Amino acid sequence: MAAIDVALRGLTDRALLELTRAGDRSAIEAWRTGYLGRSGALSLHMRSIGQLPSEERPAAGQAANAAKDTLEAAFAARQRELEEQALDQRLESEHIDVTLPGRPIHTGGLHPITHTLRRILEIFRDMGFQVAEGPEVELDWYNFQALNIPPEHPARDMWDTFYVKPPSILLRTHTSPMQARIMERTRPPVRVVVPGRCYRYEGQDASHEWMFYQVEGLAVDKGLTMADLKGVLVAFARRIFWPEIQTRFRCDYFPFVEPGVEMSVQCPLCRGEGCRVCKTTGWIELLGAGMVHPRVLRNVGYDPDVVNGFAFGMGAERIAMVKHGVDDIRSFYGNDLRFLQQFT
Amino acid sequence: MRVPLGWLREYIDLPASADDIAERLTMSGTEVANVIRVGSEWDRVVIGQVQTITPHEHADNLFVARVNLAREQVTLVTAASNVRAGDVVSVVRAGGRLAAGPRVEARSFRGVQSNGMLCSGDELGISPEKQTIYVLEADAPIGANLRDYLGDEVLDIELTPNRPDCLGIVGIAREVAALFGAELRMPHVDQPNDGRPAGDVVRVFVDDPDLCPRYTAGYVNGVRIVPSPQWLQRRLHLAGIRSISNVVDATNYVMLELGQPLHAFDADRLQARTIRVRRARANERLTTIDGVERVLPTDALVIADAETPAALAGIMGGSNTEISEGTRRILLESATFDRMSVRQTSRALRLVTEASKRFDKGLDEELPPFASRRALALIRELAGGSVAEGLVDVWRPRDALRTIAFTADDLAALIGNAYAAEQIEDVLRPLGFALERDGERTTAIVPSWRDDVTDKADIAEEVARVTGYDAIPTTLPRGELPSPADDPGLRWREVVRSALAGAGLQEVMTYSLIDPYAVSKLDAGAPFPATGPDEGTIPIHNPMTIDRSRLRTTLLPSLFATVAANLRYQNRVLLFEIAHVFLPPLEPLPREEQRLAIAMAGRRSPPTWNADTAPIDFYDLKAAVEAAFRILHVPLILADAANVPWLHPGRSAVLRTTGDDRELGHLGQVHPRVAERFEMEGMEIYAAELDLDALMSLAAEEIRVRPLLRYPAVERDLAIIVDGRVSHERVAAAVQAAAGPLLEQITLFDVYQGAPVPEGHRSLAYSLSFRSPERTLADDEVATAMAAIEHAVTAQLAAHVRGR
Repeated sequence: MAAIDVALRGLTDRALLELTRAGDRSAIEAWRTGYLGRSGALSLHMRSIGQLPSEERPAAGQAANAAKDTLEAAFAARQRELEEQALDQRLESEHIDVTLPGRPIHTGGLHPITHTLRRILEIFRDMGFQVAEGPEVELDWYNFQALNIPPEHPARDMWDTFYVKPPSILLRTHTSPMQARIMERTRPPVRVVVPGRCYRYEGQDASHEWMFYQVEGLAVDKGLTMADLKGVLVAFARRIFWPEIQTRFRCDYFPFVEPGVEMSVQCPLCRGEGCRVCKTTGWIELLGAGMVHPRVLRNVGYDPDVVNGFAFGMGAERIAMVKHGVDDIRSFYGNDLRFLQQFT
Repeated sequence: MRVPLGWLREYIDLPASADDIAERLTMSGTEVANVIRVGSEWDRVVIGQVQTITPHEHADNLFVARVNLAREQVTLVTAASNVRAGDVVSVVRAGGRLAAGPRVEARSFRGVQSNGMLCSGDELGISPEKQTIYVLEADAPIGANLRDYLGDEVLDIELTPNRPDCLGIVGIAREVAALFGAELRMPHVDQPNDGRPAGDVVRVFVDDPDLCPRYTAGYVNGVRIVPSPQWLQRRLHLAGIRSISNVVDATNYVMLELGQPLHAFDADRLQARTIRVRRARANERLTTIDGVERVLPTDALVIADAETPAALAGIMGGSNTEISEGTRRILLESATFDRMSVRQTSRALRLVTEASKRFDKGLDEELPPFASRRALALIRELAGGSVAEGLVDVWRPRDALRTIAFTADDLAALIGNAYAAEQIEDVLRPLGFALERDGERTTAIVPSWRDDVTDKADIAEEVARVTGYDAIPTTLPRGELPSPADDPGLRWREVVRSALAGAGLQEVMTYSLIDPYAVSKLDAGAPFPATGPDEGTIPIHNPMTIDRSRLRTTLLPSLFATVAANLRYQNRVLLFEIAHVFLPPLEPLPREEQRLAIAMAGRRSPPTWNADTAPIDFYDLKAAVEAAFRILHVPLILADAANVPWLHPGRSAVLRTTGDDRELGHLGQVHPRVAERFEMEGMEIYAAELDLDALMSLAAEEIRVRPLLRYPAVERDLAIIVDGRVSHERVAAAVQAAAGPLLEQITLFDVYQGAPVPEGHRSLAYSLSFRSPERTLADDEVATAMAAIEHAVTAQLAAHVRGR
């Protein structure tokens, strides 16, 4: 082997050995300058090839270029290796405690009755009902007389009433007065739901509250039947609760409908098994309804021989209570944040 | 109303179990709230006859009874002193019991072994007596199980006010007959009379036939007033009525049976044996049988004799003519009174009785003679005497019975279910309707006791309820939908709600009624406690409590109370409410305005390891109000507010929008004196209240987008040192006006007070962004604008630019 080959081999071996010892970025940069730089060892070696006899030069040149490739590849590999190491170290040092609580987003929330009303109205909107609202301080005429409840009628006992100016002005005891108000200002077909606050002169306990929200429904058109009323209410129950829920319809009395209906549903808390809330019957009385009384239709100038109507009314609190297992109606207007924030 | 099945059985062969009857009644509109089972829990309770009863040798007040139980005899110790040899009694044998709970054990009383217990009527649930042993009829079967003899089931029925015909057990029997296809048996009413017409003995004048459409009087001579037999007492007890005496019990029995209240007068105590039905005179008084002397309302209808009132018509008798032990001759009233009159008098006197509860629903004018004859038969049976012939009957017969014509198609059109003609008849005839068919058309003659049936729809209900609502199919309405009439206010309100919840506020709902001093508490300058109730709130005529006696004109008092209540458990409370307020004048109706109110107090962030621990301040409140405005695309303008009585004078603002003079509301820190009055002493409370209807009326429905600009912006920062009383908004407006349209955006990024800024001044640091829609700006264009700004703020605001 020619002396120059021996020298190149020695240089390469030494360089590779030193590279493995270079432990950081500056060390390998120094190494590169020392071997591959303009005045580095390999450059000096290459320049020395010029002094060789011409027939030896090509082979020596090839060998030198091969050595250069080897060293450059080794440098690149070493550089990548050190970068990987450095990144690993940095990432290791950046460890955090993932179990610390997340930074709070300051969320508020809607009242559970707002949630419930939105859900109820959404379902009826999907069935083509419009939404309307009316006054909470109401005339006796709309709250009672237009609804076939004349003064001193025994049915008035069904609604204990706050009067503002007796006998003509009161706090509405239900959202039903909007039936007459809406029919007075529109012609059939009518399909409307009316949410709103109502008031009854009634002591408070776990299931009675003197202020509450009701949703009234009213549909008037040619050819409406009690079967349609049942269909709408069953569809409502299936959506607000669950699709297979059982419903039950019995006769009940409200002066402004005839026939009168009460709808019960399978108790949502025990699913009909019987519990404290449904008094072990498996059923929960959900709402009152019926076909609009002919006298109510006549009171607003509709002809009961031409159009029929149905109406229904439900308490939002009752629905919220059975949906969420709230056992005291007073929780809704007690406004304890520890209660309200469970709905957000 | 309580219906013992043992009693119901008098009028109908029971077609099903108590539970099944209860279920069918309930589904058809007669709600059975509960089935009470008398004797269902009795165990080893048997009928026995007392052989001997002797005082206990070693104990005063105790007695030892030997009781024959047919197959054996037992010894029992009792404290009751009413037991006599030969009495038939109820015995709980050792190991048995009367109700769920501990059993009766054999035990020794001072050396005498008692192998069970003698029972009182109260313990058995068949009479009210607690202190005495219940003595059964002498012919009760000795040794038999008591349940077989006395056990019963009682339907506890909650009637709707449209069905006074069901206020008697016969009415319920008629319903059961119709529901199950069973036969109704009416009670017998015929009895022999002494041939002397009642009209010869008593005289009746009805001065006010409008309030008393019918008055009948019967007469019995020679009654003996004694306690009723036990079967009668037990029936009354199970139905919830106290037994008085045979004659009074007979009237109550017939009331429970037929629904017609009756009243028996001691005829000898009626002056001139005369009844005069009239309105009460001024200051007339009557002591009713409950012992209360009452001043009669002048419109009240009374039953008087020739001179003085003897009863409150349809409500309660007077003690002066009451049946007593010495009564020998009775006048029996069976009448119909105007329901409104009874209701008004009953309410005015706060006196509700079994009679008034029936009369105020409106009773059948056909019923009084039948009920009277029924009661006279019973009185004769129970109290003896001779009954006068017939009744005095003052009545102008009303019009013929109501008729309703309908076809099966009419019913189908309303119900959505087809009913065959036979099916319709099978429902209506048992309910008492007479039917005449003429081809398709049926005419129903409504029975006199069904005043609630006036229309085809009522006939439809009868058919549908008796055949069952479950038989009606479920369909969906097929008609066209009403033309859409969307109320944007309803939608915007929900958008605002969601925006506020998203901004970190919890929605609450508080009562609409407030106390009469609540609004004056909001006036920091007004005396506290207030000298009188608020002038501006509308009072409730019949409030339940003084705390809830006024219609609120502001949401703030209720919201402050809610904040105060929650601050007891929470260190941050951020609330809002959207609700109506009620503004005078009362007539024709108060103006109802939707308000939005916000209140906040406490820490800005919930406490956690990296939380912002600063307290909530004005700018947190302002951000929440801005959230509501922004979601409606309404620009918010705040200005210092002068004299808002509930607000801190230095930290209060009025809410407006651009191009509109209206004040939409106020916000700021609650005045410390007001906070103190709402039990939040020393707390900084921030609150706002605004007219949401007005705000929503300004909401921008349509949003127009601006094109995005292609040319780069040039950014410059600028700190302006200015007197502390010059508002940011004025400075920013001056900057914007001076810079012209090239100034695209101005952002306040720092507010600084303290050295080296002079005392009473502050430094407002802005980041300015210049941009042209047409070209890249040259440096000198921006420099010109900056110079103009500097000149303007110096000249107009006596400010100077920092670093110059």
